[in-house]
Amino acid sequence: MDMSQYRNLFLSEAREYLKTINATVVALEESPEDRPGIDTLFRGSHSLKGMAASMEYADIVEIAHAMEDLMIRVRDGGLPFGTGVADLLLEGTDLIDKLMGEIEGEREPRSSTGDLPQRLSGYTPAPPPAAESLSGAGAEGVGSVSGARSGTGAPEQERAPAQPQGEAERGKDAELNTVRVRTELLDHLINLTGELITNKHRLLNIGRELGSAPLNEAVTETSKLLRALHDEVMKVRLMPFDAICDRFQRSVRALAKKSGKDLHFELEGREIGLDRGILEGLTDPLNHMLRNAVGHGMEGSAERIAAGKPAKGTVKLSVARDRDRVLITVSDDGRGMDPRHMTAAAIRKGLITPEEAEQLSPRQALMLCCIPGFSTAQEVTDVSGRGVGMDAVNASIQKLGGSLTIESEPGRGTRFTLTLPMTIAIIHALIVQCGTIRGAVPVTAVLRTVELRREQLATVGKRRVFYLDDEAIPLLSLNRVFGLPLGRFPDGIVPLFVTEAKGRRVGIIVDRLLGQHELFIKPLGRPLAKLHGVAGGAILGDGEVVTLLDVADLL
Amino acid sequence: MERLLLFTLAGRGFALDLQEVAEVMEPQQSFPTPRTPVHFVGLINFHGALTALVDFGLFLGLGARPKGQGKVLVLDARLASLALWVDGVTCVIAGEAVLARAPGQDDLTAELLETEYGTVRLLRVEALLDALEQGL
Repeated sequence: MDMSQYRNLFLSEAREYLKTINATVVALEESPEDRPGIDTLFRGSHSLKGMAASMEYADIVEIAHAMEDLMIRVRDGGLPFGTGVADLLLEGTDLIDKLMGEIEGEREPRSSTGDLPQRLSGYTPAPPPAAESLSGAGAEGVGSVSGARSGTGAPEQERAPAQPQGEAERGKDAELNTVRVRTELLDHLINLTGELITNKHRLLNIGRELGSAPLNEAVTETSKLLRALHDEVMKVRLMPFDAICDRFQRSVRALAKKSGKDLHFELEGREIGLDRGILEGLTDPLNHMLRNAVGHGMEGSAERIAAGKPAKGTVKLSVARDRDRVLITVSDDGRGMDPRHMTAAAIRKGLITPEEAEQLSPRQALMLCCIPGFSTAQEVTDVSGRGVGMDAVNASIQKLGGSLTIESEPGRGTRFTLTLPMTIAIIHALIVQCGTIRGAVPVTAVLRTVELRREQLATVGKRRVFYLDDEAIPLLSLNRVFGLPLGRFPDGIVPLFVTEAKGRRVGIIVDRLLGQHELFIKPLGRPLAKLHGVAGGAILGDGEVVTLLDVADLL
Repeated sequence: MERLLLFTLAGRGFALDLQEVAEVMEPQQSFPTPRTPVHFVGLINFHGALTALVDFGLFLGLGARPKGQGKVLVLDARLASLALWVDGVTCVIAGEAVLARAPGQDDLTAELLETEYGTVRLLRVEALLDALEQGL
């Protein structure tokens, strides 16, 4: 019998259970007496065990069974839910996840359950130090992190698996109203929609050439339908931010524990939907920023108390929608960043000259941390401080068509804000011409376009600049970056767009600004996918092909 | 069954496994890409897929051909988004029609094949892709 379809269903459902268990474990460290949370853990372990048993995955059954037993002792036997229990349960979910990876990859099982089932079954909490309070999870040690609980966690009335009749029926209704769809199908849908948009622009061009009113009317109507189709397909592709939250809770928890910092981790906006392409690209940058917040931003309890702050710090990750953009913020109430220290460090490392430092606004000074090689960490640890982080974060965000801003107040904390488009497949871009090359720059990377008169050009040091809001913006020629002859601008007007590169605003001179277009971005594949500074391509309505420029990478 | 597409470049013979070729086309309009070596002519729109057009003669140092002349061999999309601009296509032959085979003398050449059309170099597509990528 072909079990593959059942295997995929098992893996998909089991991963949802693991995610719930992980989130609930972290939340329970904050509120160890939370009965619905304890029930959720018991129920999750029990369900995992049953599902794995039906597929004859004995190792997973053994671990899930031991986790379930441990939770019975917590629920009915008075075993306090503390760090020891949490660590064991998370170790259990990690191992199950690893075993599932082997099943998914159809590899020979390499991971063994080891002594984990015995450690889960035989767990007894270490006696608390005499001086500490006996109540709650805090008794088990320093370096704890607590997560704000965002699940609904309906109160349970009886042992799983029995469910109240009404709940079971609601569950069945929900099953009938939803279907599981393979992600490849969703990708195909957005590709087809993109092709239709490209063809719409082609028809618009033909309509203009023919001057046919009925054709233009029909194309306009088609455009409206396409917009609606695009919106609906986008909605289908959206995945809740929650899909990647689990790893952040785990990561912050582990780091806080390792660095002995007591902090509260808040998550807001888990239900906000993002295009799955963006979501995939966000995990590493967000993880890095959270590591920075815990490793650099947050002080130890003693330092916080001395500064008149609560002993327990707060790190917050929040997501919000703003029209067709998504705003993600990583903030902390830690020691903050001082723009003067940032410029001093950058001068010391030879990244900028003192003259350049004088030109920087406080906001720009904070963005210096995005220059490769910049790090103000006092010491290099495996938590953070290797000086290779924020430049990679910034580059990743710009690759997704987004931008990064930093606000900070010394002693009060820091806030990193990522502004991201809703999708990376169909975008609005500014088309520019340099010599024979036409390139597209995502509008999210364009701060503004400017047509300068020659007399507005100035020189600071050896650099050509122009002034925007009293700030000297350095100028670069995209022709020069491309290795093309420089533009001549016989009419005395120099077209440029302002973008942010390596944390600083910069004016990019081009031969011509050709306006904004809606583009369906296609990958370049081998070999051009390796080309630096180009993130894909698109076909315009007149059939011309443009390359999507990754300005940050180009510069 | 092995089938080979034979083509020419600067008077020399080359071959590709026919399974690696999606289509043979007339030269068509291409659009230049920034910061690529001179043998990357640009991007072409191959049935909606963006495909890099490489002047194979320039790549091998055998010189370019006049614009609009020659043929374009588009590789199978499962291998790459790549089209090779060559002088001309000779024919397709069955593997059994190869008179003799010898090991290739360089990374790009899988084998030297003796055919009734002369000696041809059977190209190793993976090595070609690696070489093109390294040049970027």
